[in-house]
Amino acid sequence: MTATLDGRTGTAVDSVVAEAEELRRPRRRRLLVLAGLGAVVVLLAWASAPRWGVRIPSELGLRIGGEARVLTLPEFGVRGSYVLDYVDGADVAIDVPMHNDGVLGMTVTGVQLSEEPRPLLELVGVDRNVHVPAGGQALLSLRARLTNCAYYHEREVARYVSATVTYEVLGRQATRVVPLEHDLVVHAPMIVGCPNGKLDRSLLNRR
Amino acid sequence: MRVHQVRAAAVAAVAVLVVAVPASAHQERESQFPAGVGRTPAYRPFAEATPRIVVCKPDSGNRVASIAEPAARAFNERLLDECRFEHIQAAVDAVEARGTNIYVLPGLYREEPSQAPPCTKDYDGGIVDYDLIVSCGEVVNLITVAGDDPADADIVCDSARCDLQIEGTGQRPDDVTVRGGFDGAGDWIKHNGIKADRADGFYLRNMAFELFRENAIYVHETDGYALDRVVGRHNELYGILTFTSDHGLIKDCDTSFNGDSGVYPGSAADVNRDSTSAVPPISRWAVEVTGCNTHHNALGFSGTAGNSVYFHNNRVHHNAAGYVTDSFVGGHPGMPQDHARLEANRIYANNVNYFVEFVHSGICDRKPGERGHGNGTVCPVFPVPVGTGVLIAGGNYNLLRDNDIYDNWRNGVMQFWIPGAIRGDYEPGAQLGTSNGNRYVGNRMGRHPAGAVQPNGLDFWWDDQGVGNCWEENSSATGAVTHNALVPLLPDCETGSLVPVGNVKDATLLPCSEYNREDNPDPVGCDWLDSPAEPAGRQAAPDDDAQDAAVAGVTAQAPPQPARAPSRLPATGSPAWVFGAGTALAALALGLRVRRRRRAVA
Repeated sequence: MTATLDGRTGTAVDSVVAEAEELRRPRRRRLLVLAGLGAVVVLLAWASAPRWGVRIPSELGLRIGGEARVLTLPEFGVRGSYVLDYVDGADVAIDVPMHNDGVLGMTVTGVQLSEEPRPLLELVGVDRNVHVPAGGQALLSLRARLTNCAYYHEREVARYVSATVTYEVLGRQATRVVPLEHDLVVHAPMIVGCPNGKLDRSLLNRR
Repeated sequence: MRVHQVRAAAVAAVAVLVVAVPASAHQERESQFPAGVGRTPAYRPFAEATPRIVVCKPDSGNRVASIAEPAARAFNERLLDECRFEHIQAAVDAVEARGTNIYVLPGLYREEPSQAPPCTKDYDGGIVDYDLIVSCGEVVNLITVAGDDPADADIVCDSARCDLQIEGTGQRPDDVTVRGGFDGAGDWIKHNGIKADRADGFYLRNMAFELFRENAIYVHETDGYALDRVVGRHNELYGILTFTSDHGLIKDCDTSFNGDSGVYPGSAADVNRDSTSAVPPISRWAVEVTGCNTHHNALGFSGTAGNSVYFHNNRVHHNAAGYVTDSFVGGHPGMPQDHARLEANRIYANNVNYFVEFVHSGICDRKPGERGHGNGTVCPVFPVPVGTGVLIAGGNYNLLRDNDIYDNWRNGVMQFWIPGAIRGDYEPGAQLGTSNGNRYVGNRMGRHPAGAVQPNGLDFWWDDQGVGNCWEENSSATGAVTHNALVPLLPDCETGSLVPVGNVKDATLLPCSEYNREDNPDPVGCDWLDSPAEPAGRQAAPDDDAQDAAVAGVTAQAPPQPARAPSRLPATGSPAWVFGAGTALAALALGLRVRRRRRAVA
């Protein structure tokens, strides 16, 4: 509807103003609704930022060093293997290059290799709060220890196939399980290499 | 040029060495091969058996009186008069001269003085070094024969207990039974029945050993031994275990219901390690195993680093897997495994699924004394592909010739590669150093000797890896031998296989290696513990198989277990419902706005 203000009669002007008011009210309501929806969208976007805002690699390559020997065997097993030599009490340094191809930066707050009790390779230290910028990369440094052999049969293998990465984006925390590029394999040692090992294998139930 | 040197380049290797690993062994002290200058002892008949010591139980007289055969009864009655000892260990301790003969009269020997003597009180359950074996072998053994003087540095037998012969005098091995069993708390009384440790010339004959935490009969670091007409049964691990020993003979044995294997010559002396041929000239054998019946064990035979084993004219049947040799487990001198020869054996019906029957059912979680050991219970400590006749998990220059291999429902023979790092050998050249030069010649696959067709699930399973492996003149009851090689025909021995690097057929090895009976009894991604289906066209056999199955006392075949897919945990930070709800709300808002605009326009 179009109103014409020609000044001929007050009644006509009032009528036009009233009509304009009529028009403004729903527009305000619409604006309010839109603002509300916008707030909801922003809230949802914030809540889901860890998912859409960052892009973690589909698998993590490891650089393993420290006091134990390791070989990378890409041909052994379905996805290849990092084979780590068990030396009781030895420290293992694991560097994990972390790329982020997303549009938001992320802060890695934790990494886990296993939730099993008494792992043969136990993480004892993880760099906290490593920032990985949007489109950039950073190096996570994990410190692990070879331990708990007394809880493993001497013919048993411990295999770590993924890392659970905990990270923060815009203050939102998230966790993602990321497969390792190759399985990380540790063979339990014989009793000679296991200072607390017992011949009766009484500790094999780790739970 | 050595093959593995060429192949090393194919392996991507990043090695970091800082800490050296001690030379370790089977669940044992550090061990080494004897010098190998000894000889396999010959049996000494009674006429040559001096000096001699006789052992008997209070009821041996009654048992002797019940012997039906007059000559055998008379022989035992004569020995009964000479009996001065009630316990075998006491007789061993009384030996004063090399070449002594101990005769053990019919009876049940529990060896009570050895069960918990005062010297065992402080034992912490860990490694037992040789000094402790000499001073208090009872910490793990019911009967100990220790031949070396611990004061010297060598491992050579140099005491009165060298060339010791121990013989049961019953008509059958069962007539003289040494039993461990369980204590009042339901735990095993002893780890080993009898252990011959650095006891060169040891000869054990015509006796049965049963119910031990580890092994019934154990020979360790010994140069020259014979185990003749012995029985080893119902043990947590092995019926017969020999380790880092040489010049051995195991003949006419019967081993059954053991949680690892019936016969295990592990780390047999590596006397042919420099030979690159599976056929003569082979210098000699480390151990000969013949005339044995090994059945109803988790593994009929096994040998980590089972080198230069001559295994012939044996029956291997109704185990979870038949003959297994490997280079998988570290800490075994003589790696990688090489030069076993299997000839004229019957290897069949190795399909018994003890994993389902006793492990997955929870029976093996009970105290040892409550599981039913002695009544058919077997609690496997090691994962094997149930239904496999022969498994060579990383071995070289082995020869399988003229064997009958049939009715193994998964695979007749299985061979795959094991890289060195898995067993602790991190040299790049060792990574492709197994599964080379193995020969399979003239074996009869899938047919019972009486003629019935009893196919294997697959005659030959091979991961296509290795150089110089070959298959020739093998026959199959169902036509051509069946196999899974990528090439239509298995390589013959004219050329042998040519590909050093394997493929991913061995995908289940690593998941299965996570097996832990107590903690992870059914690993995700491992199908080895599932019962294989009966092959089509299987015919009933006319003779001993039904009897063999009846002896088992267990369900021969359990229903197949459903395969399980690996679990992958979803991301938890942004749950799917947040995203879904957000999308739905946005769509709702957009729809509302469009509808209002349309109404306003109208």
